[in-house]
Amino acid sequence: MFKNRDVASGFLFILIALVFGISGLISYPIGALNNPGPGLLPAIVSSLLLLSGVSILVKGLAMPSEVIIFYIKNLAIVMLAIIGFVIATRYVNMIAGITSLIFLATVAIPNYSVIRNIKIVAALVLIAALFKYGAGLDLPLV
Amino acid sequence: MIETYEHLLMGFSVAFTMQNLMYCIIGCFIGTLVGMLPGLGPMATISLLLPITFGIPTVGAMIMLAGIYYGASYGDNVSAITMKIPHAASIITCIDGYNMHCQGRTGLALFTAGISSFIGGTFAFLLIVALAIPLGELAFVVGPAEFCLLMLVGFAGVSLVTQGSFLNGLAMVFVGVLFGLIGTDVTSGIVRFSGGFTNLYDGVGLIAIAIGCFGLAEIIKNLDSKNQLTPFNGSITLVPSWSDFKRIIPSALRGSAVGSILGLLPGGGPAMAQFAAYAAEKKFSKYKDEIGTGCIEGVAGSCAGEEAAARTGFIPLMTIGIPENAIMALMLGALMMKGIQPGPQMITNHPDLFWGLIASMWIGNVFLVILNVPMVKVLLSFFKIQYDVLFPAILFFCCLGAYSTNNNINDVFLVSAFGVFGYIIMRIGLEPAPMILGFILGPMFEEFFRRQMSISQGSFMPFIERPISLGLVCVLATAIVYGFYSEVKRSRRKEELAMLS
Repeated sequence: MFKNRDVASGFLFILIALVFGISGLISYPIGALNNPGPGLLPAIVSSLLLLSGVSILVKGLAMPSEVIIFYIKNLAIVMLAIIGFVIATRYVNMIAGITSLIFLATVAIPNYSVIRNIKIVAALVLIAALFKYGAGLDLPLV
Repeated sequence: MIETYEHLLMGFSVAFTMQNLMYCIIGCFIGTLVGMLPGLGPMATISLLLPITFGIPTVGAMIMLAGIYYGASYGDNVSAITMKIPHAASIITCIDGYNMHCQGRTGLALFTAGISSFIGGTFAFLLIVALAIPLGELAFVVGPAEFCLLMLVGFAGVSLVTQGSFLNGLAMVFVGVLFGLIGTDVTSGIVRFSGGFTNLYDGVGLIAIAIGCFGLAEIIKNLDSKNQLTPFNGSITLVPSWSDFKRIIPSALRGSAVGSILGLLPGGGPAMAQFAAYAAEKKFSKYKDEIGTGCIEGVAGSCAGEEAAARTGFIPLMTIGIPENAIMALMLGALMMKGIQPGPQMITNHPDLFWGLIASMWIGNVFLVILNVPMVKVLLSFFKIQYDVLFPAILFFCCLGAYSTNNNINDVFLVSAFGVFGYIIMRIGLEPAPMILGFILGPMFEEFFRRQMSISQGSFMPFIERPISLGLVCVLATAIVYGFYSEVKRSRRKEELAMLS
């Protein structure tokens, strides 16, 4: 998809610069130099980022090709596990959140074991209880 | 000078009571344990543990808070080195420290962090004893123009010292600045770049970026490489070899000197100090070519710089009553809750508190070294656990850290978004460290810049009229020119290598 890392970086920087730059210019007043508005610094920084992104992209196009690999599976599993933690904690409690986090996250490792997961959940619930009752963190454990 | 020594002896006599020593030990211990939790840096740790000090007498409470602060800073280093989850003051420690951890030298990295922090703290302590009041007035000499330029020098410097190209580093700084501008603009009250999400009205938390871009991205990377190994298969070596120990001292002293000065400046503090100390190592260290790959100097310099800056950061607070960052503002709040108004009168009206606190700083430092060296062995034993079991626990701590900042479970979504971003930038070879500096300093830069432009009625002349500003402009110009020169050299070398292959 991208010729090499520099090309990918260039595209990423250009994208971020355009998102912040265009939305900033449309929505926030730049003001005057003696009374800078909330849009001034975003406009300046987005412009500098756009310039940098284009330079990196052009430099990358002159460089040789290289393979960039993204392992989508592990990324998706970890994100799913975190989303599961959030949903279970919000609608049930944090113990349910911890359980769903561990059982989902460990799908990413080859030797999945329910018994091991139960032990990990138990240990983490204990640690969370220590933080709640020992250090005073406000955790929705139950 | 004799008067200062008398005051210091009085301070030690106040701090060396059994009760105050106990408060110091408890503060250091609890601060370290809570600070180790990914995402909970010194600020969050102090906020959580502040209520513990309410029932304690004033001197004891401030000593305990100081102990919590230093303990949390060390705990911060532990999570940065062992889990690659830094907070604001341990970003640079993370780079070389985590590499050392991956090379099986975790004990050495943690020992280096502890001893360097002790050296940095002792250096700053001696400086404070000698020059507390004159150092406090340094903050008045620099104005908004100087602060702006100092931050720009920091941006250019961090782009030079991190791995990879200067242009990539600079671009990541800009990305960090843009992320830092998300949220409510303090001057106009306008909410910027929130996308309609109320969670973002207060901006993106540093914790979200730190945990996401460092911690989560690292976990996913380790899963990709099917990391089944732990660095430890046998004995844990705590005491470094004499040759390793000899490498720590000069770096720690350099870092201490840099950090002590930067700690005095509002907006400077540990965040800037660690980058500046790292840059000094890259320039002056005998092992500069190894820095970034798991080098002792990378950890020693940044830890000493950060600790020294944290200590001297108390000076503007105590002598002028100006907190230089959010943590100092918390300490100021704690003092005011006890009926003490920091300021020039504090030394004359409350000498026992002032000098007792100065003395307890050093005592806290000693306790950190005594407590943490054996604690390192306990900590390292956790890393004998297989990664299959360890990584879900680290993931949980990341979520816990993200949740605990605002007691808002939606903050965990933000962390996961930055986790995806962090993974992407890692895969395409970009460094998150410059982005973090841009994130921390960007909003401060904007505030000082707008203040200066209002004062000078839109004129840029103050940026070159004052001698300190002019000096900083020259340093900035040199850094940028050198950066682009290195970039061109690097590109040419890559082209030559490509042609050869």
